[in-house]
Amino acid sequence: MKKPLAPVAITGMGCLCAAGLTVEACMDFLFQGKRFPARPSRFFTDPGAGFPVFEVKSGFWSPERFRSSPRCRTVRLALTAAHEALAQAGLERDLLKQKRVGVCIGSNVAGSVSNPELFGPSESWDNGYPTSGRRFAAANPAVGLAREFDLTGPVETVVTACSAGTDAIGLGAAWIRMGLCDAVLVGGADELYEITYNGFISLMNSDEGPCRPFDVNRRGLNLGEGAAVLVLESEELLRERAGICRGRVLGYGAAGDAYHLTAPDPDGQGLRLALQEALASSGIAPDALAFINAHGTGTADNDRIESRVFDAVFPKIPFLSTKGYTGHTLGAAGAVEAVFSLGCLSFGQVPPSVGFADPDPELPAHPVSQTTAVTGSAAMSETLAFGGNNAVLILGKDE
Amino acid sequence: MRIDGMGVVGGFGCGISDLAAGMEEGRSPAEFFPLSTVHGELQVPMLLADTAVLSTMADRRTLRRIDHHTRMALLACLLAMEDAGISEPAAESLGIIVATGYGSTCNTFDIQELCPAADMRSFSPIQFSNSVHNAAGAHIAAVLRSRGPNLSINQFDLSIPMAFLTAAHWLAEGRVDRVLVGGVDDFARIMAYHRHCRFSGRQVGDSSPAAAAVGEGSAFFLVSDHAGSQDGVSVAWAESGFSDAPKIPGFDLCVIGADGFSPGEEAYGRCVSGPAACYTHLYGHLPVGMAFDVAAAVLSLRAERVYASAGGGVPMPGGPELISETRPLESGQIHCLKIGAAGGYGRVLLEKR
Repeated sequence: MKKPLAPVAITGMGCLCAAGLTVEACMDFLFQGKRFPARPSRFFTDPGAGFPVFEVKSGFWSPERFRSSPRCRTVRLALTAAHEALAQAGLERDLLKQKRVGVCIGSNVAGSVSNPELFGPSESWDNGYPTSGRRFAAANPAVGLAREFDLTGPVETVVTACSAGTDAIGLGAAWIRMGLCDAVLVGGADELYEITYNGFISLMNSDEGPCRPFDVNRRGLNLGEGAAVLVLESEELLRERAGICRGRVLGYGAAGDAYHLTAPDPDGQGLRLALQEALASSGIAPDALAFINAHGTGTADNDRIESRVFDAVFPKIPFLSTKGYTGHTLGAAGAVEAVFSLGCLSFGQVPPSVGFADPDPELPAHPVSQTTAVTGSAAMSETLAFGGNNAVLILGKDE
Repeated sequence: MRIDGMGVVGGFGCGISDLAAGMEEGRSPAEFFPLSTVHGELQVPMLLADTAVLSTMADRRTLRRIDHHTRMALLACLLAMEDAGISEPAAESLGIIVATGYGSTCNTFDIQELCPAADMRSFSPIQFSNSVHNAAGAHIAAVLRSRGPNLSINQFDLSIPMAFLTAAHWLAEGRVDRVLVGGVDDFARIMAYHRHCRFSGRQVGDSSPAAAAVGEGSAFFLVSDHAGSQDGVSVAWAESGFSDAPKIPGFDLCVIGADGFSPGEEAYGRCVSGPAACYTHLYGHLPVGMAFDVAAAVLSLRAERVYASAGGGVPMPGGPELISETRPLESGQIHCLKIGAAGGYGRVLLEKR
């Protein structure tokens, strides 16, 4: 990265997860310091096994808001977040049709055959052969948004596992900068899913109780579900319709560990490179950040590496993990936490990292444990993923 | 952006020489294999990829835990590097973009079939890890020691144009100096059954673009910024939209991705008025098939020849007229067009400078 890139305006945000069904509800919830993990309600689990999750409250889906009627929960989550984001942006359906509007959404479960809606096991093949394209569309949140709002721009689903939501925002911002789109709906969406739930248990990466990011007693993550959508707009469209800028994507960086499929590089080299790229592309100095919204899953390796890198690169910057409130929403996490970061910048404070109680003496840096005032106009939100993907956003409030 | 090298593996064979030979020969290399179904064993045509040569190109210990899906992608990447004459890429200036329509289907099917047993907690963590859609990208990065940006895209049959578009953006913004960009898809048993149900009772040949055999494979391209380049084949344009496809200029060759599986394929006939070619008989039906169309177009531009289409130009109902005989290429540009099964289109324009 040679020089800072142009910031991209954010004009609308929508979010739903276990913390709430709107951005406002989520932000209120974070500062209450509470959480309600529970056993999965939508698929069978061993009653004595533990491993709680953070589900979105039932009743979130309001079909009367939409023309389409998707069956897939991930698509419903994405549509609900997009509806809120577009309403906040003040972008009407008629205008969306007239402009070149793209969609870039991160997802994990909606990634094609991962979803049983798309291809069930072979015993069900006799129930009529599938038309794969139609089934893909039915389970894909990016296509769901394009169809619902008659969008004609590029449509992309990013499947970089847990960093997908962050990557989708960074890539969508490039579409605006490169003049490809007038506006882009970016974000992430993922429903809680039986395979990922059991997969993380098989990896021994799940905590049998509520997760404890950065705590000495941390035992792993809790899965969650949710969606967040942000509206990115070109300066031309923003001026043309006298829209309100509510924040900006200032920088984005991504790098691979080139180390292991499921374990992060112990030296955090990939994360450091991603941080460097994000900072360089934003033109923001490390000490100018108000705070860092860490990935902070509660797994031993993830938290250790983040703590070490933060201590080395951002020794005085407060950081937090919001996974204790939402669980790990996988492909949605980067987008959900980007929205939280923008909300905290606006509030001038960050909530406590719920679940963090006893500092780990092996970690050189620790997250905030109580509501903390922050100063500055830019924050960092970062995600680490399966496959060694590291993705970082620098977000700013509009001033 | 300039294409410095490309690597391919699929039902036609392994490497660009095998693809070129298939294009010269003009017949489908599909073979019949047994497919187990609830109705018993069926014989269906398939285009399967053999990755055995990979064990001579990569450390065997590294390959132990890598499944067939990733092996295909890794092999195509290594072949692309070889074609470009590069053995050790710069770790931080190489980006990787993997497009996949299905992801690792074999793994995922195996996992899904455990569901009724209600004993999913016992499944293999390695199998689960390899079913995650960015597994191929992660393994490729580890083998090449690439710490550049690493992206996996899943937009079904429009994944490839989005991958090329993203590669162009990365190079334009100076994020990396080179990008390995391409696609990979496993053989999908369920699509083979789909083809059997849909086409087995009809008199269609396996070379017809209206009924391609189900395939698998991978095609990757090593691309770089072509500023200052005097020759070679470049990607001049890549686009995708959720709208009707644009009209292709009548004087340019268009390689179309018709394979008989997508509703609305007759749209090719509406937007292609000039010469058209189709090579799905070589690589088969798979969502990232457009990567092979791009590879075929690169070979055509390199050889300055247009190769005969599937089955010598078997007509496609409602489609454009397909080139039936190999002949000299009249233009320095070739369009590759895909009509999306879920709507939308993708187009990649290649040119020889």
